[in-house]
Amino acid sequence: MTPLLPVRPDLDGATPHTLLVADTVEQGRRGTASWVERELAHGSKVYYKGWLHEGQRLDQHWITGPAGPRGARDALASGQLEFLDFLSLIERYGATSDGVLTLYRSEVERALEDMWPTVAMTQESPELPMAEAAQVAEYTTWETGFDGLTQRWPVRMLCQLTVPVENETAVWETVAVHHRDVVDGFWAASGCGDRWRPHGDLDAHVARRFGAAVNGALRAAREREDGPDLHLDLTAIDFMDVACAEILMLAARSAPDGQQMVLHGGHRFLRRLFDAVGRPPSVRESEDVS
Amino acid sequence: MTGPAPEGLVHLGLVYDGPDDLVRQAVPELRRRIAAGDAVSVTADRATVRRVREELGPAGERVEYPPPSTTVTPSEPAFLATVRGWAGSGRRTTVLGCCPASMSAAECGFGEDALNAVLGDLPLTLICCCRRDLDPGLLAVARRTHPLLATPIGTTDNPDYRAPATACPAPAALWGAVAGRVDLDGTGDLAELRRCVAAAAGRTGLEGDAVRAAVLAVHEAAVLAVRRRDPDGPGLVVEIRAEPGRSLFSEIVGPRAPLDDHLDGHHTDPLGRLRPFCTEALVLDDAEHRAVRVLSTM
Repeated sequence: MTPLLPVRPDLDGATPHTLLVADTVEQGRRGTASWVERELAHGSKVYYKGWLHEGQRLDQHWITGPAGPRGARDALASGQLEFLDFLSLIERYGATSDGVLTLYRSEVERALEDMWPTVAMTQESPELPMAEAAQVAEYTTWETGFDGLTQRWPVRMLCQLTVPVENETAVWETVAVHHRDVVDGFWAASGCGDRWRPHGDLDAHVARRFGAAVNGALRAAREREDGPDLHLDLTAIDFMDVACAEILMLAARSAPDGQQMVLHGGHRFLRRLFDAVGRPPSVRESEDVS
Repeated sequence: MTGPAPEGLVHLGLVYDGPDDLVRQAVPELRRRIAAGDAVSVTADRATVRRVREELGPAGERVEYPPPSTTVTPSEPAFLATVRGWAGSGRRTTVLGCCPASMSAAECGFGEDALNAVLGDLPLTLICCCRRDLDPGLLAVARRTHPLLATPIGTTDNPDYRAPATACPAPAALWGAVAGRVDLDGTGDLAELRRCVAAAAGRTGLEGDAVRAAVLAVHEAAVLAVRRRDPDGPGLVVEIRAEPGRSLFSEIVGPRAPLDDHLDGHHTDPLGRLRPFCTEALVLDDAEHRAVRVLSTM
C-alpha cells in the first residue's frame, strides 16, 4: 500500500527562493536555524534580517542563543553571517521595493566581490500591514526582484512567514506570491516548467494557505506566455481533505473565462473527491492521465 | 402495547418454536398496530402467512405480505437503507420479518446493533422473529439486540438485551481492541490522527481506497468536532479501535457544543446526521451523545 502520510517536507529540495511557513514562532525558528546552519556549512555568505525590539542587542536575538543555528556566533564574528535589523533597514532604504532591492543587490555584489561562493539571504516575517493594494504591489515587486537575484547570481533566499504575527491579508499575499516554492509543515508546493506541484498532506489546518497558493498559481499562469491554463501536477499529493478539495474547485470555478485548471496524474481517489465536492467545467483532465 | 402510538423505533424480538407459536405471539401486536392505523407488512414463508391471515381475519386484508425473497436481512449491507425505506410512507409502519437460518451471526448482530444506534427516530415497529432451533449464535444475537419482546400479552422488556455502554452508544459489535488514542487540541493534530487511523485500518485488513476512505472519514469527523469545540475548553480525544478482518471504529469524545443551524435542520431526518463517503465509511454526527463517530466496515 502506498503510504498515506508523507515524510515531512523539508528544505532539502528547495529552489533558490523559498517561503517557510510556520504556525508558531518556535517552529519557524527551528526551520530557519536548520537552513542557516546548512548554508554556513556550505560556505555561503549569510545575510540575516530580523527584528530587534526595544533596545534589544544582537547578542540577545534568538539567532545567537541556544535555539539559533550552531556556529552563528562564530559566523557573526568572522563576518560569514551578517545581521541587519528591520528598523535600520527601513531607516536606510525605506519600505519600498526600490529600496529593498537596492540593499539586497548591493549585499550580493559585496559578497561575491569578497569571493564568497554562494550567498544565502533570509528574513524574518516582515509584519507588513498590507492594508492597501499599493503595499501589496510593492511587496510583490520586491519578491519578484528576489527571483531576479536568484536567477542572476548564486543566491538562495529563504523568506520566513510566521503566521501568528501576520494578518490574514499578509499571509494570503505572501503565500500567493511564493506559490512556486512553499514549505508549510506537512505540505509544500513547487513549480516545475509549466506545472505547479503541491506535495504532501493538504488539510483543513492549511486550507487557507493552500487556497492562497492556488490563487497565486492561477494568477501567475495568466501572466505566462504559455498561459493562461494552470497545469496542476497531483502526483505528489498524499492526502487531501474536503476543505482543500472545495478550495481547489472553487478557485477553478472563480477563474476568469478562458482559464482552465488541467489535472495531471495523482490518485483516482482525488478525482472522486473532486466529483463529490463539485467539479466545475473549468477543470479538465490532461491527456496524459492514466 | 396500548395507549398512544410510540414516536420512534420499536424494535421487538420474537423467539418462537414454530408457525403456530409465532402467530400466537405476533398477532396481538399486529392487531394493535393495524387498529392504530399503521401500514403493516408481514414477510414470512407461505405457511406462516396463511396462518397469520387466518388468525387476523378481516383485519388481515389490510396487511401486505411481500415474499421473503423481496426483503433484505440484517446481515446485508443495504439493511439500514431498506429499513429507512419502510418508514418512508408518511405514516407509522409495522414490519414483521423472520430471520433466515443462513445468516451469519456476526453480520446479523452488526445490522441489528446499527439499527438501534442510528435509526432510533424512525416511526417504525419492527418485529424480528427468530426460531428457537436456529444456530445458537444467531439466537444469542437476537436475544441481545432487541430491547423489547413481542408476547401474547403485549410487549415486554427483554432481560437479555445488552445496550451499548451509556457513555458510548456505538454498536457493541463494532468494538475492537484499542489501536490508538490521539489528543486533538486543534487542526494541527490532524496529521497524527490520520497516521494513526491509516495504521489501524491497515491492521484491520482494509486496503487501498478503503483505507483512504476511512482516513478521510475520520479526518472529516475530527474537523467537524474541532471546529465546534470551545477553544478555551478541554481538548478532544480520538479513540481508534480495530477488529481485524471486520471493522474499524473511531470515536471522538469531548465537550459537546451546540449544533449549528445547518445540522439542526436535519433533525427530522434520522439519516441527516449521517455523512456517507463511500460504501466503506460513514460519519455519524450525534450531538446528543457528545460524539462524532465513524464506522468503517469491511
